[in-house]
Amino acid sequence: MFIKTALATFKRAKQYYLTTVFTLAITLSMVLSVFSLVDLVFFAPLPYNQSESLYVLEGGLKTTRGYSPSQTNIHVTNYVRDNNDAFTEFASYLTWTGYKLYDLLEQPNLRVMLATDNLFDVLGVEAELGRLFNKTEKVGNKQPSVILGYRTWQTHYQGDKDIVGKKIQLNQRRFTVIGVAPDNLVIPTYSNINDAVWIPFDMDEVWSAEGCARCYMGGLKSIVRVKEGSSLDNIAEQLNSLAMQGAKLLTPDMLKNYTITTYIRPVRQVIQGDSGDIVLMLSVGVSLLMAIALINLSSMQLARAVAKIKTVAISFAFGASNKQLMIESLKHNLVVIGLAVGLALLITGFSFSLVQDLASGSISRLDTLGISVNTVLFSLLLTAGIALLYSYLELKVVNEQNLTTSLQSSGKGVGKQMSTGASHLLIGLQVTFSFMVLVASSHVVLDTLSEALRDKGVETKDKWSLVVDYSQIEGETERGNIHKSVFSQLEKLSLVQDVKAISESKFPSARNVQQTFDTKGNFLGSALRPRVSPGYIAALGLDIVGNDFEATDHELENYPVLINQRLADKISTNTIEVVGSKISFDNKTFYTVKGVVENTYFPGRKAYEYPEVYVPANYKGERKFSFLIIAENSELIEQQVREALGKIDSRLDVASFSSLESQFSKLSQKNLSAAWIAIILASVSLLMVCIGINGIVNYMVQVRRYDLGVKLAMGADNKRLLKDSLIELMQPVVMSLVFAFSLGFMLLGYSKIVPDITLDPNWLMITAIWLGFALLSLLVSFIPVRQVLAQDPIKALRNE
Amino acid sequence: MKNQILKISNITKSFKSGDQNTQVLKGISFSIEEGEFVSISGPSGCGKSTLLNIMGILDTPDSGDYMVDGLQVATMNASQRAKVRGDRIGFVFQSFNLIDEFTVLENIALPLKYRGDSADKRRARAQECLAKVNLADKADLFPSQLSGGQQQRISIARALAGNSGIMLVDEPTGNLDSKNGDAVMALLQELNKQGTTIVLVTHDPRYADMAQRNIQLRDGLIISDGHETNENLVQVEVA
Repeated sequence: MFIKTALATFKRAKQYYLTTVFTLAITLSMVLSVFSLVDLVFFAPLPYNQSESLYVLEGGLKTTRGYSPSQTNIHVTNYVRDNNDAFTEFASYLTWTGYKLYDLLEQPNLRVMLATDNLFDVLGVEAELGRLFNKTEKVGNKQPSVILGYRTWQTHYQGDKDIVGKKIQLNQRRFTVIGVAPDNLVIPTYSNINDAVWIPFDMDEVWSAEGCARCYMGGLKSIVRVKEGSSLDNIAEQLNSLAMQGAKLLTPDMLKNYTITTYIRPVRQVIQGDSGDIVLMLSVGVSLLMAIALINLSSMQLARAVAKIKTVAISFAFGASNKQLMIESLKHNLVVIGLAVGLALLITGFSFSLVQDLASGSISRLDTLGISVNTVLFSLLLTAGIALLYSYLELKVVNEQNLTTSLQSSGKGVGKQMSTGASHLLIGLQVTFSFMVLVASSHVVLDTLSEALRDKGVETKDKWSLVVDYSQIEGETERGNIHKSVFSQLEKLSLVQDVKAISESKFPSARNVQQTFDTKGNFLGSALRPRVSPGYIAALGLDIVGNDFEATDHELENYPVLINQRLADKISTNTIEVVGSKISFDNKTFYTVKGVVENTYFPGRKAYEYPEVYVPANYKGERKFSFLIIAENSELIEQQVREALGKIDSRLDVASFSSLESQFSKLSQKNLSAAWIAIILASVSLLMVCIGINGIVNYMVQVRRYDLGVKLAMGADNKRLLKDSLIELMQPVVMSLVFAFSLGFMLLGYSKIVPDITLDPNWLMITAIWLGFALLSLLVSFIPVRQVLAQDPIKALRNE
Repeated sequence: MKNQILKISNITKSFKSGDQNTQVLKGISFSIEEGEFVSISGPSGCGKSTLLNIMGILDTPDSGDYMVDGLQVATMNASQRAKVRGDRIGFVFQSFNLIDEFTVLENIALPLKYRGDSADKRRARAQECLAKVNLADKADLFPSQLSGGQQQRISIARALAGNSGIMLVDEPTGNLDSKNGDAVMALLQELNKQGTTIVLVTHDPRYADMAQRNIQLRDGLIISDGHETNENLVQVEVA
């Protein structure tokens, strides 16, 4: 019976229901997605025991030129751990070597986290299956235990309930699965941790505390539990003092150029990071969009209410009370809005994977994003709120005081009408909000596209990056010989035009950053130091001011170097002068700068744009070495390369093989996606406001049809009537555009006094948007007026 | 002595249009007994429809008293007024005022819906009323599918449905041709014979004379109030 009634009701006003449900569903899905992010970032509790007393401990390096946060030495950290009186618990973790899961045919890359035995105890998390690390995995025990991240367990092992006790192969070593981490695990500064696996702190195949005596790393973090009642200021003072003491004892050389610091930050703050600002900005944008949609639909609802005046009045006349009509209307609207919200929740659920793809790295804990209880409650609140609003609008037009007039209303313009003020207000609000959304999203599009399309500086066409893994080959000599074979065999491949060598891929790893100094001992900065073969620079299409390496340069004890423009600018503004100057990595041995290389840019990842020092290539038995292969763009090139390596030695492995084009594309992918989202937001808001203005103008014109009909019948000129009507209808649009512009200008002025906010408006674009908006509004207003004026006056007089 | 179910005492009503204040009713007083068939007639603009709207609690007077079943309407709250409209008064409009989206049966059942009757009860009563106006076969049609005369009969059935006992009828023949108009008037007479109190507003003297009693209005005042008793017509002239 209910379904029959519902279908009958739907058939009577198909357009209204479809427009309402789908407009709300789309807008609400955006609102609910953002709310889920708000909930995740601000409200969702951390899955830790007493998280308010947990802090992240990191080190930093301070120089006269600036400050590099998040640079920590393991021994200094241990010194702080052993000598402080502020912490009751202290655990550490990092990630270092790249691993593949050799169990599986496709040998997927896997992030492997190293953790001290007490990390999970300090956090207070429980295993999903089996156990987490305990004293068995203490540093020194070298236990081959592994904990699977929840998603790794689900994805690669299909959630096998018997996984505990089984062995898995990470690169060339086998580990025993002792447990599975919980699905809500988060770790400060690392995102998507559910995709990782955990091994004991002393079990990495490359990194060890002993081998890293002097290195300061960005990836090493510690979690500490602060004693109750401790003063954070006192702790900060103690930490810095201990850090300097530890550095003096353990890494004294660093103190020549750096002040060593150590600091703590609350775990929630670290996990939230920049997420809070991003999510708040998204919230503002989506709220504006929601406001536009609601105004749009409210004006439609008002128009519908006006058309239903007589129905409501008749109900009043036959004994309906305000309460009864309100309940009736509310029931109807709850069903309609509830349907829209249900659809929105569905869309939101599907959108999470897109959000995770786009925002991973920018917003933390995204792998735990889901529809929470708070989101469901929020959506119920929205349902009730919007339904109440609609019911209020529906019933406000009729009351006991105006029953007789309402009973005479035909709903076609005679009788009760929406007041001019209300119509203008609705138009004005929509235009204001939409203008602001359009301006903001246009700037996002401009910024993200400019970044994504920024020149790379290198030629990427027909170029491939190959990283060969020699780790299964023992002995430097054997590796060296095999490396020579690799080089020569690659050159002989039919599809290959040229091969150049580089110690690490063009996409830099931050591990190989070295201090550089000029001849006066001034610290120039931390620079990458890749080793390249002659011709590598030219193969990438990079210009050199000066000369490239020669084949024998690597044999020299005091070999020359090439530096990039970024580093050269720190030495002198005159590049010619830089050629022939000298730099050092230790302020003892100096190397002549043979040439200055054009910069490489990484659109979408400015963090990769380091100063660089190129050193002549000389394979020294590294576990991994890279090659730049120039070959035709062919599907067969990878196959050829893999076969060639396989023939040389079966122990050789391809750590990675990809085109330079695809590598660069991946970096800018997020910018492009952000640009597309901004375009969609802007388009949706523009479309909604055009529909809204058109709808309201349509309505306003219809209620004035009679007047227009009289004027036409009296011989008024069509052009004159059109002009007069348009001037009247465009007034609220223009006024709200002026208001929106003024509001934006005021906000911009305010932002200048807020230090953390930097807004850089593009005035030309804003002006273009303003004019475009005005023209578009004129067009959507023109059409309904033109339609009425084109009719027979008598039809307007009869209100047909 | 029959019950006085409606009593109007010194009702005034004016309408404001810009700066102009037009007094439509200038002090109207009369009462109606149960079972009466009263017509209110007069020239266009004399205030008869305004008076009927006040009697139907669709409008409020500027001053004066209006009592329904001895209860003062002015002291009632909104819920009480709605209850009186639903339980005690059935209204028939000149322009029918049927709801286009509802079927004939749903239109007739409307007063019962707000009284809280169950769907089955409403349906049964609506069918009964539909039968009374001889349109039982039109139950599932929509108003737009009916002629003017049929729509007005549906409107009468709706006024009957609540079993309110009082029917206020505003120019029921105004939008009908004479044949349909006669049919509607015949129906009203039949209903009155069955015990329904009817107050009819009409500008047509033929139809006004069909009532037992005719109240004539002019310029917002009663100029005559005629009674028809069982034996003879007593005319009372009001100064």
